[in-house]
Amino acid sequence: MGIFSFMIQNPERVMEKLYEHIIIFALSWVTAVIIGLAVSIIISRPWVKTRVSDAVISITSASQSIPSIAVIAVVFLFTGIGMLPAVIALFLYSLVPIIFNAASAFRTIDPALKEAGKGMGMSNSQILWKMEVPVILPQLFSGVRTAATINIGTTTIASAVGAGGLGDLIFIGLRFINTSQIFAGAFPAAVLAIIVDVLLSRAEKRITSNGILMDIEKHSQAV
Amino acid sequence: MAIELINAEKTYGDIYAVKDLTMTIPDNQITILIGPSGCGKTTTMKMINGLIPKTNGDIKINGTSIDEWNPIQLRRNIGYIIQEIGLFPHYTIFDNIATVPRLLHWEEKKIRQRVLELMDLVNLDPDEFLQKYPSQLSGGQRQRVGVARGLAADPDIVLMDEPFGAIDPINREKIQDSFLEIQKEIQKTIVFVTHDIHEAIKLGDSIAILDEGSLVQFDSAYNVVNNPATPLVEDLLGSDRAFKGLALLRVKDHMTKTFTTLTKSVSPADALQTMKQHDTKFAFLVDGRNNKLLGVVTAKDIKKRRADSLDKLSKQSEYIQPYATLLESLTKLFSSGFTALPVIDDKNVLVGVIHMQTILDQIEEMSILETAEDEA
Amino acid sequence: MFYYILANSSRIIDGLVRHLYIIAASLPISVTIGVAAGILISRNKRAERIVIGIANILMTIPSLALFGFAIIIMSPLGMGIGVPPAIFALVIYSFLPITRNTVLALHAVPSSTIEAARGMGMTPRQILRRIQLPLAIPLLMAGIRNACVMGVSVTTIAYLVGAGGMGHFIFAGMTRTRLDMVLAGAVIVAVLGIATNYLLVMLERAVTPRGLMLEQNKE
Repeated sequence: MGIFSFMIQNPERVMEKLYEHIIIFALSWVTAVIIGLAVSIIISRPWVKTRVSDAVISITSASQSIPSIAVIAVVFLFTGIGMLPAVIALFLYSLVPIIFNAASAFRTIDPALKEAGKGMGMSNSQILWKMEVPVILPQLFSGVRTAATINIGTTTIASAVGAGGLGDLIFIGLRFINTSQIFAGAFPAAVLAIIVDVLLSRAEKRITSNGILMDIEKHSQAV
Repeated sequence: MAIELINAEKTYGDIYAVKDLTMTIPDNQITILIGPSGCGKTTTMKMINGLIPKTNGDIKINGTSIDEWNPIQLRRNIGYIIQEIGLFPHYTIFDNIATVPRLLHWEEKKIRQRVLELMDLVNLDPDEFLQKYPSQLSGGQRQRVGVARGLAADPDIVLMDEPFGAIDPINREKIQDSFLEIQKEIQKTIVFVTHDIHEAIKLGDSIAILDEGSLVQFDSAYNVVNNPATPLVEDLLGSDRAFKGLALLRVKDHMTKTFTTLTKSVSPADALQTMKQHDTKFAFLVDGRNNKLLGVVTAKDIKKRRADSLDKLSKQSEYIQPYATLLESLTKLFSSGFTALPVIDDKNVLVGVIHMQTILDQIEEMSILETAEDEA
Repeated sequence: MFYYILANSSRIIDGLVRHLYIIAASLPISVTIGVAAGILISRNKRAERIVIGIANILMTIPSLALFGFAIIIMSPLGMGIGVPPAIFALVIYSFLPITRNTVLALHAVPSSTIEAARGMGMTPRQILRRIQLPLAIPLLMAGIRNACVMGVSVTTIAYLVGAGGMGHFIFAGMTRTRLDMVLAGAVIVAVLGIATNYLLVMLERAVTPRGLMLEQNKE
């Protein structure tokens, strides 16, 4: 099992890098989720001009085509090397799918639904938390999951700006063409990404109302 | 007086959506708001619960101006029913109906009891439906849930915004009939917006016709049909106005309660005997326990088809509901080819029979045909 | 930055050409595999679930990790470094959105339309070629667009496995702390990503059957 040799011989080093990786991911992703959802909620309120959310949606839509390394590079220019620039760059990059999905989703809500809530005497915050958010949970989750996957993947590249994480093992392995060291970085990174995605998809199924899940099911059969 | 509009107005810039509207909406009745699109009917309705804030004038509910109400409290005390798409897709049927009671912080036990009452009222089986989601229901079923939800907190006033607009014509007639049956029981003050004149005549105790934000005519349904105030109202009523008079008359007021029923246990020979005694050519097959209609049996079929039980001889029958109009009955009679239709209530119980001759007599009796001739 | 771009224009153009060459070389492979796989599995619900499931998992693997795996797999073949592992990783990544969208697109054709075609006497192959594929074009093109945009990004990282391309300016610039070089690389790559997406959206519109576009606009 030559390929596992680096992992077997240096378990504490792999664990240390995995730990760094998770820290960078968690810091940037959680902040992006909180701020991204907050921004999306704010720009989708009735008192914010449609032009504002139009602009945000087109900007985030276009930004999705920008390679992550470009963002890392630009942040690097301002802040230099280390963990902080990586966290900032990953935070910015994770914001994009979260805001794009959430802001677009808020718009797809049938106005009749909101009016029904209002007409029955729901307050604005009740309409937001009891109706809008539950109804678009799948889209919110889709943005949050995409952000997590991209974030974990990009964290490996962030090692180029000295952020640490599993990318260190891959980079060094690549330089010395040491396949078992490459594997020691690549394998845990892939497994981490898959586990986080599975956990988020479980959470999504648990939190989302069955009525909404059925709607999606029905729709995917229809299309 | 439950709802009074006093010189109420809504303007958008220089444009009047509703202009100097004064009307008193009668208690415990259905008042229809109707008119061409953009006439201000929906705006008027939404001003009542503050969904659209009025610009000038006043609206009083039980003598208190809506300005003195907290809009959110006001809306929780007024029922609001819109098209079936207004159901919350992430809530079960139970949770949908329980929305307003929960906003009002009722006890769960009381809510549960109320929801069950309402399910009975709108004739949906609680065991079957309460835990389902809106997407699992048919359009008609969803609309029944919508009605139940609007009535949940037992409001005195209910606003209905084209609630049956998305339902196909056949089911729409049925749900209108059921709705009238429900209203007879609950006696709410209902403001009902529609653009369908048939619906207006059928459901409305009184009808308010609006045009370009102003009130054109506000009168009982009978007077609107028989004495349209302006050419616009005449246009709205359409060229078959004469027949619309039939839409003012309900089956329940003109059906006969003498009819022949048979149960499955009766032999075909005995059935023939009974029909002869009652001097009739047909009889209705009903469930002996609860009088629910199962089908229709004709003397001709018994003679021709020599089967051993009535079950095999009975045919599915067209039927009509007590709150349907004579106009609807006439249409159904023509399309079915029968000379009489069984009348069944919301629970499928046979309550009467409506005869073609009765309707024809009505046409003769009503002055509307003469007016139509005068005009021609 | 502009000074850097002007001064090094020939190197940048070389980098761009290399970048686009890698994408262009992998795209036909992933489109062929993706569409073929999509058509094959769309006939079997179970195969569909399995393949899409696996593809979804492959998509979550970080690109750098995928390059790592590509090197490990291809080293024994003597192709461990340079363009081949880049193309390999790119194909793995991009065939998924194409397969997934192909399946979705084939299912998107209403069963009544297929029924009508069958009723008019079309063979299954004719139905596929004349009805299902043309109607599937918009979704299929969206899948290809996704693959290309991802390709721009993944190819940048392919520099690390010695494939060259625009990644050179960013990564080499960082090690040499040549800030103008990094910025030039980042900006060009960003513009390339956005432009690729934009151009393919245009192409998508151009190849979508007109009747279908009218229908979409109506919605």
